[in-house]
This record gives sequence, structure tokens and C-alpha cells, in this order.
Amino acid sequence: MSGFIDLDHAATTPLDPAVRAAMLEWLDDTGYGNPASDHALGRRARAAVEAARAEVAALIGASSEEIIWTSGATEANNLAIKGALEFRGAERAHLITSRIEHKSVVDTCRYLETRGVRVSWLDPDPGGRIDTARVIAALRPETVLVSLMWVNNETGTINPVAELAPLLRERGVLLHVDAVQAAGKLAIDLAALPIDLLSLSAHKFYGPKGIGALFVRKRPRARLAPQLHGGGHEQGMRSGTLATHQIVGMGVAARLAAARRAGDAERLAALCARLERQLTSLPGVLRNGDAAHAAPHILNLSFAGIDGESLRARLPMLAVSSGSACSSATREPSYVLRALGRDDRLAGASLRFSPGRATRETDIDAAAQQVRAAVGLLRELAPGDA
Amino acid sequence: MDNVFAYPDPVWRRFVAPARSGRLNTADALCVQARTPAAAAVLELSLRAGPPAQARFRAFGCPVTIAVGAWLAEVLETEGVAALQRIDAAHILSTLEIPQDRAHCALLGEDVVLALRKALNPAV
Amino acid sequence: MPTYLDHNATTPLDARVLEAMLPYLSGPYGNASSLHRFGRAARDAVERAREQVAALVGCQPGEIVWTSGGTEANNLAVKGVAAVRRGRLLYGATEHPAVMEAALALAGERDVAAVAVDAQGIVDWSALAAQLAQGPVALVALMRANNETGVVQDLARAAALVHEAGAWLHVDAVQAAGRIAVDFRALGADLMSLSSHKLYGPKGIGALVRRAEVDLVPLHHGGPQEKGLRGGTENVAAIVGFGVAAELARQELERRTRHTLALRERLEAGLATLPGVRVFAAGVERLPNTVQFALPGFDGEALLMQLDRKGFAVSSGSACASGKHEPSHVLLAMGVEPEIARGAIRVSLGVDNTAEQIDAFVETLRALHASLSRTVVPV
Repeated sequence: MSGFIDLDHAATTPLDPAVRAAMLEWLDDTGYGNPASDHALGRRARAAVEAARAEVAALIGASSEEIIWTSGATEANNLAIKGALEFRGAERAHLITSRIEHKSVVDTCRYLETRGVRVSWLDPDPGGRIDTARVIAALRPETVLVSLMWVNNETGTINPVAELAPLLRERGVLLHVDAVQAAGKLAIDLAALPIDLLSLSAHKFYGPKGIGALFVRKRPRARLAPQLHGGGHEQGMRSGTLATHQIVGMGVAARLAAARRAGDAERLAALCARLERQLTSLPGVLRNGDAAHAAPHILNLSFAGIDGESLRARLPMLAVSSGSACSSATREPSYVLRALGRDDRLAGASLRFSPGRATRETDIDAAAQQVRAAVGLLRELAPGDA
Repeated sequence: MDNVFAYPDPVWRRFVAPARSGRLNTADALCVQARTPAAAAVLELSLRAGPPAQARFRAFGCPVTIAVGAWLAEVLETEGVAALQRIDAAHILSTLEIPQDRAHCALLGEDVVLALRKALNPAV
Repeated sequence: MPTYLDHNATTPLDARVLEAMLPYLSGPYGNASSLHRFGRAARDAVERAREQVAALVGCQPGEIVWTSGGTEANNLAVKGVAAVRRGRLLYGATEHPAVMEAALALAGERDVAAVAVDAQGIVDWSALAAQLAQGPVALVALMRANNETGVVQDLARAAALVHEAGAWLHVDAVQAAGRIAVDFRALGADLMSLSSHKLYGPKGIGALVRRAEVDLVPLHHGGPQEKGLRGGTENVAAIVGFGVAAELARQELERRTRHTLALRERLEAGLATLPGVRVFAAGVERLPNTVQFALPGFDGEALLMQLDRKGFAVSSGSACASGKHEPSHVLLAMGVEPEIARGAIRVSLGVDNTAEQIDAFVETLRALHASLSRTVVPV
């Protein structure tokens, strides 16, 4: 689509051509075996699944047996949190999370609250970070699990996961990390970091939709009660026929993400910096999220004095998000930005920009120009005391 | 500019290229403002009754709000202040094809109209 | 190329389905939950697929909840209802593990019981009636067609019985949809599970059909997708594929049925010429494509391996991952002796199979039957 600028890669990414090609091989008339079947076709599919598993494991410094396939990160987050709490038993159980986690974590924790689990909801600092000291202070003898995202999907702020992990390990508390926005952007080495559970989503790093993974540590063993019962797939942790083509796609995407991570991160950071420079030269433009702890691919800005809906309506050639993609159907101001202290109006007038592998400097410049024009016109239109 | 969010055509036309924006600052110009609760939307109309009537609008809010402002200024200039007598929320709603979930934008327009009527005829 | 006779485990992707999916696999169609134009195109495609699946199974499009497959749909039905309703959970003794294990997972908190079947795998209706009379029941789960034996349950009286007792009826139609006529409304079911990859659609997508009145607690919290019942980014390409596969299944149902039934009868005629072969549930209505049989006295695993080496892909029962060589619970529930159950072979046919393949399979079986040492399977 000529002229259209995609700056919404944090919402989803297009399939890498190599990923697509690999997937097509498993959608043809030789690749359809059920990986659980005990015949040549099934074994062929299973081998492909295991090869992909190794690739995903390599992306995060894990071993293959620690990777459980899920239908996406939402399921992985549900499995990690519900699975851990259920295994341990909800009786007098306590878990810690933040107010600005992804909806799949927030709603899962809320649901567990209705089942009698006590939840501590930590507030972020004004930069959107969850302070390690606050997590430690919130620990109780009954704390089972801490769930904290590595990179916030709206602001791109990086949480001090590396600092926190050993502290929780010392205290025997499980740590679950939603790494959906971290994978392929930050270096993740679970051989070095004592994280117990970690969620991944393929379609955030140029893989297909409908497939994700949950890392479940073996040593020491993170114990989960399965959430999907049936044929006992995935070491009994997640039953259901494996979709070979999706898994192969995730594997290839993971391999590419590992290979390109450092280069991508540098390039994306430069693109975000370029965009930020061009937009913050306008008055009344506020950055959301701590610039000192920022993932390379997300820039979230609030534009004072204008209405967010009108801003987006004047940017038809630009794909951006306001608020997390999952909640953009409702017109509620982002709960993440509200938690950072933005009022409804500013939160509503914010845009999340996330460039990707195919984004060029010319795209950034064109986007900046369109945003500046829109902001300029809308500010012109607004009464001085609006 | 593409109407990717599918606003009604009468709204979109006025939002894309808002005409008569600004504020009349002369001594003989009236200026009124209406706001929705929590100032999620603000509509301002300034008017010189004439004839011929001169009107300008400023608006903060969604595209529908901006379109209402532009339309009010447009109607005042083309039909004069007499038009104020027959404009109410229902009229705004139907003329601009505003969907029900944006009815409050039409009500905001009506508030501005009422304020203008009052300003023109303080005794009434 | 092996001869594929394992269509109940999974089916090959129909080329027309793949073609429909491709634009959504890597086009600019983004996230169906996003607001801009490409999000809208994706959303429209998802709704069209909803209509296509609804047309196949006789429900309203709004009653369809997309899931990642049949297992998830079955889990959502059983656990989702159990979370909001008191009472026991009853499931047919031959249900798929995705139903059975989901129910048994709740056995710690409530009564869960199997409903017996007879020697042909048919639900014992008087046993069910008696069980229903014992006290409040939240949910009864009865499959429309069995994945191993192919037995088709006549559920005509099920809904009335179950509803009279104040319970919901869940029908696992994963194997039935696309092979026999399935009508959600006519069945009187409250919930029904479906799986795309059993009807020449892609893996990784299924559906739970749910009457609006049936309250469920979601399995996957987070995100407003599927009216809050199933959070998570929509897998648009897979949904589109499922929709097209469902439409083709509806249009071609009669042809597919005729084709597979003819081959099944040919196969059964051939099996009848092998000494001692026993076809399970031979006397009742079965899926047109399914035959489960045993050659008594044979090591089932060895037979499977031999057939595999000869280029025939079949299975013993459900293609599940436990890797255990235990006799199928389905056959045991039908009163089949464990040694015989262990020797069970399932052939499940598809539109791509031919008479020549059936004949070759029978001849291969005959040769193996003659040459394999008749070892009694150790108990």
C-alpha cells in the first residue's frame, strides 16, 4: 500500500519471507501429519516441531525441554500464573504484579482474586518502572509468584528484571516474566538469569499469529497445574494437537530474531530517537516512559491541547496505536498511562510509535511531518483555554 | 485524506478542511463557549450579527465536535442569525448524520446555540 | 508417499483453503482488533468465517467462540460451565481425553462420573437417566461421533433428558462435523466443540459453539476478543481457513460421505476375508470413514510399525502424546478385553483415498497376518 507507514510493530509484525516460506512447506501435501501420530508423516512433523523448539530455546538461553507451546502469549500468561497458583493451592496464597501489566496478566490476576488469591498491585514510578525495592517490600510469607513484564508494551519502559530475579530466587518466590516485547529486542539469557516462567509471542517478532511459548524452568523445577487437559501433550502441561506450520514459523522467526537482535536494536533505537527529536521540538509534547530504561522499538508521546481521536483521524496513512492494541476497541484512556500520572485527556491524546525491520528514515520523517501537521492544525483549531 | 474511521460524510468533509476557524476579536463580536463535563469537548463560537453575519468557531474534541463547530459557523454566515431559532440538537444530529453514540456532540452544539441566543437577546 | 489412512488424527489442508488463507498470512491485514482500515478488513474476514462455520453446524454466527482447537473448546466447555454452576459433571465413557481429562481435573472439587456405554459403544440411556436422577448435574458431555470407533451417538433423546434434569448438554462434534450432518439447534445442545484440522482446514484453530444463555468462565483471560470469552489476538489466517474449510465441507458433505463410505465398505469386505478379524461396533451407525478393528492375538504396536514400514499411515486409537501403550479407554468401556484392545488398529479414510489404496492395504494386512509371529501380548 503505497504511502502507508507502519509504525505499529509492537502491535503485530508482518511475517518474515523466510518464515512464510518455511510455513508453506508444512501447509502442503506432505507436511500435514499430526506430530503426535506414530507413523512416518507424524514423525516428520514431530521432528520439525522439535527443531523449532530448539530454536525458540536458543533465543532465550533455555533448553528445549523447557519450552511449552501455547496458542499465544495470552495463553502463556494465563498458564504461568494460574498454573503456578493452582499447583500450589489458592489457600492463603499471595501474588504480586503491577498495575501496568498487559491485560492478559491483569485480568488473570483479577480472576484469581475472585477465587481467593490475594494480589498486590504495584504502582509504577513516574517513568513507568516497577521498583525492585517495592517488589521486595511487598513480599509476604505466602507469596507464591511475582509476575512482571520485561518491557511494557505501551511505554517501552524496561523493568529491572535482571536485578529482581536473583533476589526472588533467594527468597524462594517464583518469577514470571512477560517477555513479549523484550524478545528479539533485548538480550535474554535464562541460563544466566534465574527467571522461572517466561512468555513469548511469535507475531511480535515476525512470526505467525496463533502461536506462542511458555518457558518453564527445569532446574529448579517450576511446577504448574495444566490448564488445558487432554492427550497429555507438552509433558502433560498443555494438551492439544500441535500446529506444525505455526510452530515451524515461530522457530524460524526466533532464529532470525536471535541473529538480528543486536543490529535491529541499534537501528530501531536510532529511528525512535530520530522520531522523538522531530516531534518533541513541538511544544507540549511529553514522553511517556523512562528514557533511560527504554526498549529500542517503542516511543510513546502525549500531545497536550488536542483530542486524541481527532489526531488519529488526521493520520490515515500512519499505523500507530493509542493504548494497547487489545483494548483499542473501547475508547477508554490507557490504564497504563493513567498509572503514570497522565490525566484522561493526555492519556487519550497519546500515540505509541513502534518502527520495525522495514522502517526507513524516510518513513520516520514522513510520519513526523504528518503528525506535526495534524497537531499544528488541531491546536490552531482549539480555543486557547480548552 | 482518507476517512479510515468511517465518519459520516457531512462530518468528515468539515473535519478534513475546517472552514471559518478562528475567533472574531472586534468589540461588536459576541463570543460564547460550551463544554461537556470534564471538558472532554469544548466548542466556541464568535459572531458578528451584521447583517451580513460573520461567524468563526474553535473546537477541542473529536472530529464530530469539530464538524459541529464548523457547521454552526457555516450556517450562521449563509443564513444569518435567524437560523439560530430553528437549530436544536435533533436538527444537528440529522443534518450531520451523527450516530447515536455521539449524540453528546450535537447537544454541545445546541448548548452553543442557546448561549448565542441568550447573548443576542439578553432580556429574553 | 505413504498411503494416508489416519484422517481422524488430522487431514491434509485443502488447496482451496490454503489459497484463501495466503492473503491473510502475510498481507497488510494486521491485527483484527486494531481500528484502522486493515484491522477492519481482517475483522470482516473473521465475521465471514463465523458465518461459514455457523452454516455448517446449524447455529448462529454469534454463538461461535474461536479457540485454538478442539482440545481448548472441550476444556472451555467443561471447565467454563463448572466454574459457574454447581452440580455433578457427567461424561460419556468413550469421550475424547480432552473432555474426560478436563472433567477429571475437577474431580477434587466436585463429583465427576462416567456414563456407561454398551458393547457397541452406544450410551446407556437408562443408566444416564438414573445418574441424572441422583442429584443436581451441571453438565453432561456426550460426543456426536467417536474418534476411535466412529460410533455415531443418536443424541435425539439426550437434550430432553439432560435439560429435564436442569443440566447443560455439551456435544463434542470434532469428528462428526464435515463427515455427517451436524445441527446444533436440532440436537438441542447448549455447547458444541469443533476442530478445523479434522475437515481439511488448518491446525491451530477450532470453535466452541455456545448458546447465549450459557454462562462460562473463560480459560484465557485478558483482551475483549470473542465477547470477553477468549482473550488473545485473533489468528486471522487460520480463522479464514477454518471458514472456507467449513463451507467446502457443507457443500461437499454428500459427495465426501458417499466416497468414504464406499471405501469403508470395501475395506470391511476385505477385512472380513482375514481370519479372526473383529470390527468394533460393527452393528451400529458409524462415521462413514472410520473402521476400528483388531486381529486378536497380534501385537498391535508391531502391526502398526509393520504397516508404517509398508507405507500405510494408520493408528491404534487417538493420536495423543502420552506415548503409553495402554489399551484404549474407549474399547475398554465397550467391554473389549484388554489384550484385544491393545491390538486395535484404526483406519480413518478421507477424500483423497482410492479403492486401489484400500485393496493394497487389505493385501498388506493379509501378508502380515500370515507372516507375523502370533505372539500373545503380555498382560
